[in-house]
Amino acid sequence: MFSNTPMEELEGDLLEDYLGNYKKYGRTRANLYYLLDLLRLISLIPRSRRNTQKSKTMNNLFLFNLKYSFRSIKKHSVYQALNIASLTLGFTCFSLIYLFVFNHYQKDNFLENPEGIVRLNIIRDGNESMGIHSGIPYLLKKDIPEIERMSRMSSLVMEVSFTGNPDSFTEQVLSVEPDFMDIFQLETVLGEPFPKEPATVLLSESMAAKLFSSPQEALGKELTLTYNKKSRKKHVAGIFRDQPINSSYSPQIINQLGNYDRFSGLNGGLSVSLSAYFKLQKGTDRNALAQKIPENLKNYTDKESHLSNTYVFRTLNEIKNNPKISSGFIDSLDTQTVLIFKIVGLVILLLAVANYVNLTTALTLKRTHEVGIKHAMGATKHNLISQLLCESFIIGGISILLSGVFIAFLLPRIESYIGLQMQLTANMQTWLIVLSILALFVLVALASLYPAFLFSTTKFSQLLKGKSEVSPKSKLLRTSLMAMQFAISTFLIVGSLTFLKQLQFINKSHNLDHLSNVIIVSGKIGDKKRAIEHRLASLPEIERLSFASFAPGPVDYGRSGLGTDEFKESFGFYVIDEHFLDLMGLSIAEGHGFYTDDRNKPNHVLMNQAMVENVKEGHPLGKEFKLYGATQSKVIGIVENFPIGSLKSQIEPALYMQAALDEYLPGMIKKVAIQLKPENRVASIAKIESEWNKIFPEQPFQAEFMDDRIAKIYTDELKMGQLFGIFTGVAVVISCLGLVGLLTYLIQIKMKEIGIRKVLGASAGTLTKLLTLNIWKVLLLSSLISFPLSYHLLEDWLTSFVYRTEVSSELFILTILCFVLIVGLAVFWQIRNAIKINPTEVLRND
Amino acid sequence: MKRTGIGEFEELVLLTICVLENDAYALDIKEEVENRTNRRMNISAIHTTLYRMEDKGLLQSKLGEASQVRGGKRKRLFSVTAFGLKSLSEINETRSRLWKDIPSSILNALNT
Repeated sequence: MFSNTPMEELEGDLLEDYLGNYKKYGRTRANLYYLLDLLRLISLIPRSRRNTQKSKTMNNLFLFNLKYSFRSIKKHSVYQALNIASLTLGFTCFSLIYLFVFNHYQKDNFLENPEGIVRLNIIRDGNESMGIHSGIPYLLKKDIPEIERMSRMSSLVMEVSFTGNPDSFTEQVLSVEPDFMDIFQLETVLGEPFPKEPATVLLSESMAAKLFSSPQEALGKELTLTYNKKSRKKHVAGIFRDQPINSSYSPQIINQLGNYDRFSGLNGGLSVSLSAYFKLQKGTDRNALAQKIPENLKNYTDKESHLSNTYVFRTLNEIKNNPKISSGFIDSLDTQTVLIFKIVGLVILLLAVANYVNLTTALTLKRTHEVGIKHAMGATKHNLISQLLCESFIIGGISILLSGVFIAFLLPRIESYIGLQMQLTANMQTWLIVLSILALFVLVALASLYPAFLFSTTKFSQLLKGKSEVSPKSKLLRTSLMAMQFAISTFLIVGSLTFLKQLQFINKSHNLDHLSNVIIVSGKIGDKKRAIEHRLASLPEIERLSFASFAPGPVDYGRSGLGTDEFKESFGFYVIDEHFLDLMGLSIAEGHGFYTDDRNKPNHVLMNQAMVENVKEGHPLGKEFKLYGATQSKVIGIVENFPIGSLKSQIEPALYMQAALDEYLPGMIKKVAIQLKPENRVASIAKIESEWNKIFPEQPFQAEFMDDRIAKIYTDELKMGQLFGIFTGVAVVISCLGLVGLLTYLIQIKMKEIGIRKVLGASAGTLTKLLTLNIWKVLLLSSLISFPLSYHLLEDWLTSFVYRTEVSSELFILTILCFVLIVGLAVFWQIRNAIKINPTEVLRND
Repeated sequence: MKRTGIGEFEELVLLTICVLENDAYALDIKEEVENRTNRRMNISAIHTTLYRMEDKGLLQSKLGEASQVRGGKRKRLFSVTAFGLKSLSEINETRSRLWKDIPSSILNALNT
């Protein structure tokens, strides 16, 4: 029972006692006593363990462990470097992502009652919008006691200039009512708390400092605000405090909202749509309140257009988490985007930790001799575990320090790249640093426990023989970790490929292959079209040019809409000339484009395919419509649908007419599309600029390439795509490091097998198969797991585009090929050495 | 009086070891106690008490030489430590002081 040396005296005593009893009482009673004694002695078992003799040399200590850890790290420097690299990558990515996520959640935490700040939105036919009849908020404020404050608001981007300074710039101007300052907690620093006089405005501190060097200077100065060609002079009546940097809104110029009370009657024919913000009492049920609104309005009107709508109060939080319902006044970030980043961050950390576990385990098995000798010298499990933990902490510490350096280096760059500032106070930063370091250390400790136990439980006798034990359990764990890494990597690769495919689709839809040499020059061209056309046409560098009221890309001159009884809904109309379709590479679906010879009539118009659907009766080709000017317009052709703005929205019905149709239309011409000859484009643009300056000395020369214009609509997608690409790279690198670790391990335990097989005449091919078959199986398995998942997730993402590509099978095949190539390289790198080995080297010891 | 935390049986065992002039092993102790008290003892009871007292610091032990008698197993020999002796004498003093103070009227009853 007590087979270990320390308790042998008990065994001896029991035996002696048994013999004595046997003589005295006979066999049966002696047996009985023996059994009873045994049972009672069970309580001494823990003691027998405790008293195990320990060698004093292995009894300490921290310093020993530390010294030894450094030695062993130095000895396996290549693997430890891999470890540090993958952990550093993982930690850095994770921390950066979570800093930004944390930052996102810190938004607006200075508000006293963020739930109380709401905007009234209206849902009409399933579409939610914030434009509300200006009378409704007014009546609600009057009737509902829970509404403490109300302000209607209109925000317009105006041109701002001031006397004594010829330059102007554009800025968002908010026109609001007095309660606005209270709702959004804006404090006055100087002067009036609100622009009471119509000809006054308030400025923020920073705006005042930007314009007039200091807030004190700014008070009483005069500004000119220009909107839609109407200029108004305004005096600065007061200065309000800048919002904290973690605010999701930062008004700069506040203007008084004009008197809209004469439009407030709900039954009047004329109405003005404004957005309206409210401050609700604490604890108000905003949903119940919103449901009562139609009932409230019944007292004032019986118009169906007011009563049949659903009204909702959207809190500040909802507005800033949903770009679809936000306005330019409140910054917003999609919750889905935040979620994606959160998941990606965690996944990368997981990859790094899994990798660490794998590599350390592999390394442990390389060190069996060392463990054996330590055991022989009397080291206990505890000693071995603490030594491995010590090493882990050193590795983890180095990684954390390195990632700290990287974060400090990268953070400002990323901030400027994604145009978002970190808004952390110094106090919070210290806390974050302390917390993250603690958390990461805990993580390292947890991650190293498994290899540590493996390290310590390996059987002593086998260790000295240099044999390492392969338990099925540990194999399963390693394989599943590997499978997880592969699955995540393949998902990220499929994601990146899908993104690239969608990008290609976007480029194709916008015809960008065709437009690589096209530049768009913007300006008020108007009736000087002939002059500039004449000058430009004589330049040999220009292949073709076309004048139009618009160019695909961001909307920079408000679109014009038109609607008559013959059409279902209003549509966009644009002025183009006869070369436009040709230059943009657009084809005619039916009929004919504008004629370039004398068959061309001013009343000829074109429409796109979406517009054909928009016609109430019959097919429009060849028909005449009363549209603009005195004459009937004749539809001579149907242009294929092409996107003007983002593919995220439906292509709208559009009508294209010629400038000659009406005297007002030439004024709409604001763009010249110029196709350059591919050689020496910079010089060509310089020449065009000098010509431009001769005709329009007062207008700055603004030219941009077509692809830049298109890229501007997809800024968010492109940035996200790049970030996603980076993360994919990181994940793949980490997985490869893990693979190298796994292979090292495999080769280590199969060294003898390889040797024997080589002696028996195995070829390099068979050996490779022997070593890698499992990896390919794991790869197959992880693909099976990750592909359906990625298909689902990516389809989900693509639905945010109205026009989109498909997640197709060739993407998955490409991913597999891509991954097989990467894995193959890693495998090749590792196996090369193993196969070259001389069998006598391995077999000599046995 | 300081509490020594020695139970009655423990005291008995301790005293027995003293009587056996230290370096006693469990079976010797068992026999000695049995002889002196006319009670049958279990060897396991002796063992647990010995180890418990060793933990308390009243006893110390060492392994003896191996012999042919008991299947080559060595004996663990127990001796009383200075602390053990001191504790014993404290108990003894307390008792004897109490004995001394018992009125003779009561003691007379014992003699008769």
